[in-house]
Amino acid sequence: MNTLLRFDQGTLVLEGFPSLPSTLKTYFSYDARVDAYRASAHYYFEIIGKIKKLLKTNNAPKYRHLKLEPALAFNVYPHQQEALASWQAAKGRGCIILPTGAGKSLVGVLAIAWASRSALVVVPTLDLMHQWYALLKANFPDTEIGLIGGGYYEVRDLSVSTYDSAARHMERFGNWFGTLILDEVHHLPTEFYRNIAEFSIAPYRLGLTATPERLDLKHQELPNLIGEILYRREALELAGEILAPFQIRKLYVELSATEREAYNNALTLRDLFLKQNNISLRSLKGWQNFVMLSSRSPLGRQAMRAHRQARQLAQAAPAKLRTLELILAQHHQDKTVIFTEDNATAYEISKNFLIPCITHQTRVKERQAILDAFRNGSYQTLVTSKVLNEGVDVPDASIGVILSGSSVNREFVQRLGRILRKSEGKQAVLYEVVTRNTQEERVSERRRSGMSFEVEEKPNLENNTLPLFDNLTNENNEETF
Amino acid sequence: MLPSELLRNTIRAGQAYPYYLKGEKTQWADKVLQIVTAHINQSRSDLDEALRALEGDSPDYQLVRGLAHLLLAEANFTIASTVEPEVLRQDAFLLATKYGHGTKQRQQILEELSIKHNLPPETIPDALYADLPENHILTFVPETTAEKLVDLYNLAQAQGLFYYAKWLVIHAFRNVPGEYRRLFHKLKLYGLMYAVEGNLEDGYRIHVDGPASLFNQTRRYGVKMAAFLPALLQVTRWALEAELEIKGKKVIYNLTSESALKSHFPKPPAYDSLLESSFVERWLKSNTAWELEREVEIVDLKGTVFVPDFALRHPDGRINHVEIVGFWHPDYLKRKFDKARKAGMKNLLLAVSDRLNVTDEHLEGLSGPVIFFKGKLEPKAVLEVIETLES
Repeated sequence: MNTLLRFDQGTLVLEGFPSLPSTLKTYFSYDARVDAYRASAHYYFEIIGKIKKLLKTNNAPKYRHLKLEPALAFNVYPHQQEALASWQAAKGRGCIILPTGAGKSLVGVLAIAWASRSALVVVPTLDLMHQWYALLKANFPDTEIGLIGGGYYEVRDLSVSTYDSAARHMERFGNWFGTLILDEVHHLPTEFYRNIAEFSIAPYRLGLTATPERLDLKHQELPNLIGEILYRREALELAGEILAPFQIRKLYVELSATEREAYNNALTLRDLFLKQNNISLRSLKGWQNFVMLSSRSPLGRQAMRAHRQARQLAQAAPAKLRTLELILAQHHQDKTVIFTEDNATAYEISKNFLIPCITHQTRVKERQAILDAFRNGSYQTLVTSKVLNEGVDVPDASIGVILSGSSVNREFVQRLGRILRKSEGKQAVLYEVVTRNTQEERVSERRRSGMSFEVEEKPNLENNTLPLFDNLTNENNEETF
Repeated sequence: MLPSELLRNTIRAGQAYPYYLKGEKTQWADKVLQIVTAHINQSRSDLDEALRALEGDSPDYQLVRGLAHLLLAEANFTIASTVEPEVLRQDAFLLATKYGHGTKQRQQILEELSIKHNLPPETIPDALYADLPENHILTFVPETTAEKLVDLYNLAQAQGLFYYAKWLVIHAFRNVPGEYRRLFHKLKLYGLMYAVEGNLEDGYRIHVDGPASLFNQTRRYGVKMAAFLPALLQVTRWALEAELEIKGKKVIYNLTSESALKSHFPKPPAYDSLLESSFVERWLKSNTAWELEREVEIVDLKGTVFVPDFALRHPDGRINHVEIVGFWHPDYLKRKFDKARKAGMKNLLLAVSDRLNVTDEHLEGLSGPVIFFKGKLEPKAVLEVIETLES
C-alpha cells in the first residue's frame, strides 16, 4: 500500500497505514471522517524526522529550497549577531526580544537567508507589510516577493502578510513556507491568530518583538507555537550604545473652570450609577460588569456616556493644544512626532496646526508619501494616533509628544522607540502631557509601571509659563496660556 | 452578518436563543430605514448623528446599530469635494512647514490656499479631510422594505450564535426532493468537514466541524458555519443542534427548518440541467409503478459524498438509483465515475450521454449497469434495466 503524507487545510493527513506507528502516536489521531490519520500541521518538523523511512510519498511540503544571500552590505551590530546565533543554535525555532529601533527586521532578513527556504513574514499593519516588502526586495532582488493582505493575494517564495490575512488563509498555504517570521509576535497568541502557527508546517520559526508579555498571559503559549525566548535586550541596555540618549518630560495641564465642572458632573453621574449597582472599577471584572449593566437601562447608558465624556474632557483638554503649540514653537528645528489616543484628536490637530496626519484610515500611498517627506525634511512634524505605535520606521524624529494614550505599557515603549534611532549628536526628548487631577494621572503612572526611567516632572503650565524648556530653550517665548 | 458586539442572545438552562425582532420592536426597522433613506446626499457623520439621536439612551441601541449595519452594508458612499483633498493637504502641510504651525501663521496659510484653489478660507479646514469616511456622502441605498430588513436582522442574529459553535449536527429528515447535493457542496465551499450516518428511510445525521476540530474542539470554524446557514435554510426538512462555547460555558443551540428564518440567498434553479428536468417530465407522463424521488440517498465516501440524481421506489419495496452523466468536462467525468466506483452500488444505473468521451478506463470496476443515450434519456430505457436489478 502506498503510504502518503499530505497537507489538508492546516493539518497533516497520513494515508495508507493499516495501524499507526507507535512513534507517531503523540501527534496523529484517527480521523473517521476521512478514514485516515490526522495531525496538527505545526508538528511537521517533529513528525518528519520519525516518519521519513516509512513514507513512500511526502506531498506535504510545497516550499522550496532557495539560495538566499542578502544583497545589501549590512553593518551587523553585536547584539544582532548574538540574537541570530542563538536562533541558529536552537535549530531555527524561537523568539528574539529587541527594543524598537534596535534593528529587529535585519535579524529577520538574516534568519530568512540562513534558513534558505520559502518564507512568510507576518506583520500586524499594512505599513509594516510595505516596509518588509521594500526590505526583502532590496535584499533578495532575484526572488519574487508577494503581498498577502490589503487587497493583495500573491503567494510567492518570499511573501509578506498581515496577521488577519495569514490567519484567514493559512489553511490554504500553510505548506508553502519553510520559514515563518512573526514580527510583533505578541499578536500571535489569540484564538484567531494562533492558527497562523498551528496551520503551518514551517520547520523554521522566528518571533520578533520588543514586548512579548500580554496582559492575558497568553504569551505563555509562544514556546509551543514558535519556540522559547532565546535572546532579550531592553531599551535601557542599548541606550547611548546603538540607541539615542533620551529624556522623558512630563508636563501637566489643568482643566478650565467650566471643563472642571463638566468633568466633575460627569464623574458624579457615573459614580452614582456605580454605587447603586455595587460596582468598583478597580478590577477588570468591575469594568466588565459596568459595560454589561450599562447596556441594559437608560440610566446605565447615561452613566457610560458620562464616563466617556469625562475621559474625553481629560484627554482632549484644550490646554493640551496650547501646550502643544508651545512645544512646537520650541522645537521648530527638530523632527517631532505627536501621539494621540484617538483618531478624532489626531485630525483635529492636523486641521488646527496644519500638520500631516497618519491614522489607520490613511491610505498606504499617502502614508508612504508623508513618511518620505518627513524623512527628507519637507515635513518636520507628524501627528498620529495608534498606527505608528508599531514597527514603522519614522526616521530621525528626535521629539515625541504623547498628548494622550492608553495605560498599556507596550504602547509607551513603542512610542518611545519612535524617537530612539541613533544619529550624530541627537538628544531625544519624549513629552508626556497629562491633565492634572483627572484619571489621566493614573493612566500615565500605569503605562510606565515596571520601567526604571527617570522622569522629569514639570509644574503646572497654567501657573508657570516659563522657563519650561530650560536647557533646550534658545529663544524666549512670550506666549502665555 | 453582524459584528459580535451587535449580537444579542439569551442563555437559559444551557440553551441559547438568538434575539429576534418582533412585535413592537420591528418599528425600529421602519425608523432606521426612514432615517437612512432621508440621508441620501448627506454625510455619513450626519447620518450617524441622526441614528445616535434615534437610539437616545434607549437600551435598544444595539438593535438600531444592527439594523443600520445590515442596511448600510449594501449602500454606497462617495467623496464630495471640488479639490482633491490629498492635494490640498499636501499644499497646506508644506506651507506650514515653511511658515510654522502657530495660530498666527495658520491664517496666512489658509488665505494663500484660498487663492490657489479658489475656495473660501473658512471652508478649507473641512475640505482638507473630505475623503475621510465620516465626511463621505451617502448616494445609494438598495431598494428594500422594513419587513425584509427585519428578516435579514433575525437571520444575522441566528448566524451570530454560530460564531461560537464548535460543531453542529444536522438531522436531515426523509424528504423529497432531498436537495442534499447543494448542502454538501456548500459545506465543502466553506471549508467544513462532515461525517454522515443514517439511511434513506430514516433520514441522515450529518456531523459538521473542521479539519483541526479533531485535535481540540475549536470555534475556529464558527464563522464558516454561520455563512453556511442561509444555504441550509434553502433545504426542506431538517433540525440542527450546535454546541457553542460562550464565556467558557458549553451551550446548545437548536434550530429547525420550521423556524421563521428566511434565507436571503437567491433561489437556486430546481434542476442542475435540462437533461434532468426533461427526464422528470417524461417520467411523470410514463405509465409505471416506479416512483421517482430526487436526491434522497447519501453515500458517505469518507471525505466526500455521492448523492445519486434519482431514487426509484417500487410499491413492492424495491429501491434502485439512477445517475445521469451528461456534462462533458474531463475532470467532471473522472470525478463522477470515481465516485460511482467508490460507492460500489449494484443497484445504481449510470445513464451516460453518447456525446461524451467516455473510455473503458472510466467504466472499469463499476458495480452497477451502464446505459448510453442519444439526446434525451427515455424512461423506457431506464425501466428496462431497473426491472432486472436486485434492490
